[in-house]
Amino acid sequence: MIAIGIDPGFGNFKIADASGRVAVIPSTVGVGEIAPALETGLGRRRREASRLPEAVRLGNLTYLAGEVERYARPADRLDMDRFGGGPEMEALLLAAAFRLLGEGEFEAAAAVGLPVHVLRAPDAAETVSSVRRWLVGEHRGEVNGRSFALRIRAVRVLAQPLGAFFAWGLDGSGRWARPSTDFKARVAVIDVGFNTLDIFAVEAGEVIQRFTQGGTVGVRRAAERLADLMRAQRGWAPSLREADAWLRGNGEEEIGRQALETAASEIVTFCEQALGDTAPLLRAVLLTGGGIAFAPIRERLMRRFPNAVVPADPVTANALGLARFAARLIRERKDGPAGTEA
Amino acid sequence: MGRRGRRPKPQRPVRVVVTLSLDPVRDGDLVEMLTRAPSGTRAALVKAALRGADLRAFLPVPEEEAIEAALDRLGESFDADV
Repeated sequence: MIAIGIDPGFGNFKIADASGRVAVIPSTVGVGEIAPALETGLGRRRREASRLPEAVRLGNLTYLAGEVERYARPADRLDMDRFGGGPEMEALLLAAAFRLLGEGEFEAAAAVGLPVHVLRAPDAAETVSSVRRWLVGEHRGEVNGRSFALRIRAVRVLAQPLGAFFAWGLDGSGRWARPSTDFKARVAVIDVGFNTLDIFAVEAGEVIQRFTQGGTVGVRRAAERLADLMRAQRGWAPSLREADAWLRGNGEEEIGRQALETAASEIVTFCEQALGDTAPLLRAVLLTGGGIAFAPIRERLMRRFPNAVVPADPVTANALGLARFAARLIRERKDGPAGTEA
Repeated sequence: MGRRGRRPKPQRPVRVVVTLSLDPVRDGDLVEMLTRAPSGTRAALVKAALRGADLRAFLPVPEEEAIEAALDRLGESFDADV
């Protein structure tokens, strides 16, 4: 059985295993097919290099998952209901897991990360239950014409930023790998996603509720600002996805930098308000999420929090840490009753 | 002014002094238990042992175990097992 971490972000769907392998796929799905002439002869690596979407066959329908804009009309689902599954999410899961594991049949224990504000909403228990109902069991389909199945035996739902904390502190078997003083100290995580900004603080294994907050001040603000600026300056406004992709490729251009600086200011203000005067007491501030890949956002946060730690890959740090936590679920199942099996 | 402090018990406690000579090998478990017992709990530990209690509750939890248990609790912060 393998341990996997799933970080179903609004921008990208990330999946990792406890050994450190990761796969990232844009959280975009459309119904359609790639012309056979384009697809023929493309292996997994060539497909990734060419940024072709994965073709996932579920029943009678073929979904394109990932880089679909050039092949099908993308169905953006930024609502919270998507965490309960549905064909688009199933297609994303199969596509991402296929990118990670390749062809075959696999058994897994999974830890799934959801945004903090989703887990603190009044209907959080219902959301967690629907994630479990969706994930526990068999996920079978054909990806790029190849048979693929993932049987998920145990699921644990966690706050997304906990993934970064576990990536920082746990080893591949899910055991604490840093000095015990780091475990006892107060550590904060700032997770900047496309649509969410989560602040999380942990001390001696306890979540500090006072410093744990979730909001919707993510990179999306920069994408919205860019769309406004482009409409004003060039008479054409990109979609949010297009704006996000444009920023990733052209963030250094004046118009991109302007949009990112606006988002960075809002993000830093939110973090200052959330962490308040505890900042000097923090052993480390872990910066994670796709938003940290943008230099203006990362640099502003690092100036404000001198004890900031940026993981090797902030985009996938949550998924990696979740996978390491999932390794604990496998150990539990070996050691005694796990209680997480459906 | 009224009397201060704890009221004396009606009977005087019976004080029993037992001197244990423990073999470091054969009685190693007892040596460890008595020396690792937190300050002020050794007498309570002996009384509980004489009554046949499970003595593990008297021992401090090793740090690694405490971290493991805390990690488990942390993983359940938002998702109690079904």
